[in-house]
Amino acid sequence: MKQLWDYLKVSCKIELENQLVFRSNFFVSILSVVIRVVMLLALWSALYQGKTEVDGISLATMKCYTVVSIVFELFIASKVEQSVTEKVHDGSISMMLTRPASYPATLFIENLAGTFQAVAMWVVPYLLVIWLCGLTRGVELYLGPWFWVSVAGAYLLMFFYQFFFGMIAFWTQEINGFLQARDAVMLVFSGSMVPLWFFPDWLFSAAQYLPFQAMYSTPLSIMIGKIAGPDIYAAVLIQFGWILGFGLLAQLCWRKSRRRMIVNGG
Amino acid sequence: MESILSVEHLTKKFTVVVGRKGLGGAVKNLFHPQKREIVAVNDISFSVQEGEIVGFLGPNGAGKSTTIKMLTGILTPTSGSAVVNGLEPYRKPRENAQNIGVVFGQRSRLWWNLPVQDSFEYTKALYQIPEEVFQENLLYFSDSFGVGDILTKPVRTLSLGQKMRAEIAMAMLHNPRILYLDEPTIGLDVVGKNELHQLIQRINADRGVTIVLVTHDVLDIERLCRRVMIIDKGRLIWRGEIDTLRRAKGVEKHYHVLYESPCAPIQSPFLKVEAAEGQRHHYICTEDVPLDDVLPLILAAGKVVDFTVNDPPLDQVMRRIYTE
Repeated sequence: MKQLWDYLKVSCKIELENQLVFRSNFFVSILSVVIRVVMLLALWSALYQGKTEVDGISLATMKCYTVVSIVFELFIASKVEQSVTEKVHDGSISMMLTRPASYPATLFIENLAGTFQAVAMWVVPYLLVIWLCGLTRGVELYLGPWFWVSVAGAYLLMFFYQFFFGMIAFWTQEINGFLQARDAVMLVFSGSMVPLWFFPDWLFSAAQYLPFQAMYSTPLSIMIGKIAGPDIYAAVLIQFGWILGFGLLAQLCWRKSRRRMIVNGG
Repeated sequence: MESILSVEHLTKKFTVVVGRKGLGGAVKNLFHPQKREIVAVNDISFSVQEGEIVGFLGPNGAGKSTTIKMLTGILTPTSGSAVVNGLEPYRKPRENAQNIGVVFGQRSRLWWNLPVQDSFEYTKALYQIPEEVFQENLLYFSDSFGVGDILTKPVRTLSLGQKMRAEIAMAMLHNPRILYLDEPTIGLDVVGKNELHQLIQRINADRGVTIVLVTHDVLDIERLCRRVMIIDKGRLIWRGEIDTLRRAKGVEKHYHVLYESPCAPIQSPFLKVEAAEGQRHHYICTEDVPLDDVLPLILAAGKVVDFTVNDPPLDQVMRRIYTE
């Protein structure tokens, strides 16, 4: 346990330092987020066409959902899958397997360190800006314990989901095309771009059967009150169901691949 | 002397998908992949004594790296066993990792954009190295091998030689009992190779660490190892001392003679003339003839200024073994 704690501390430090190496990169990243926020806000204002409410959601709430979802994406973003597939691809995975720690555990720690860096450098400043710009004014937000449980649930689900697909790379070595298609589906069905309740009914119910809404839509909907009361428990339960599913699958793949692994390169 | 590493009948087979040619073949591959079994390591047995530097030699694709990957716990053997420091590495990869240091010449463990010391701190946390051991090792490598000068420099600004020294120092931070070096001198120039050879010799002498050196560079082997194992096509084709190898596989000796003035080449049944232009002559003796018989011939041809006898170059011995 102490090993993983020490490892987390040093990983956080390295993540921060790595980010600060190239300063211009840092500033350009800020700019790209600002551009996205401005564009989406203009888009929603135009779509509402002067109406104050669509489907029971006010324009102010919609704007709040949009900006928070962009920040939430930064928070939940994970490099686990990319990191594993790259390492399998160039064979440097072998270096990870000669370390005195379990690879899945170190992956989770690295993920936490990445999140720490994202929270310190992006999430907190952006939330402050959102608040200062008055984007939360006139919106009733629920930030009680169940919201945080659903945030934690979304985070864990994202990790196990990425871990699972990373493990798939051990088997197939080449799954880029499939992953791109999957990401396109995810963009739509997660509700990060367009809230799910604006979907036609059949698309909305389709989204309920996919894991993506549990990663983005669930915590955001709980926050703005679109999911409330007993629905919250159901939504969180679904999240943890997916976590369990992906967690078990990932663990299984890891065990199997550990046995029949082929390492690329000399 | 106790053996720290013993390998018995180690075998590793891989099933690989054989690619068909062309677009049609690629589509066929998607649905009905053609599989083929490859024996990368075939029934290898050997042991290594504590404290020795042993060389692992072989051409590219011979199975050296696959063997090392089984010894370091990355791959599980198909059959046979390896015991390293009392553990089977592929069964207890984490425990094994604490006992070994690994350096792959073609892969870096250092953080590319950050100063070397950050990578050292990272290793310290991961291996749970006690503070006093860490400081002691840092001091040792700073004093002896100039690692101290590069600690605060970002890795991307280091030369290849400096980077390899840092890699080796990092692999030694947790005081492993065995150090695996996989192609450590790859890409280094003569000076860099020489520095690295000295470093390897010194840590072996000072720390008593057992070193398994994987390489296809015979210079590394000649400079560092007394004992060598040669692998080709997955089989252990030779193991033993280098001197024995030389005697067994190559009797030819090289004579380099510098005469005071140009003279005609020597005619003799057991001396082959390699070069004889002007004053510099180079002869190869392919038979086991005592120097007593050769010397009079050389002295008779002219006034000798300088004379050297060379053993057969090891790479020639290797070539002969591979082609046999």
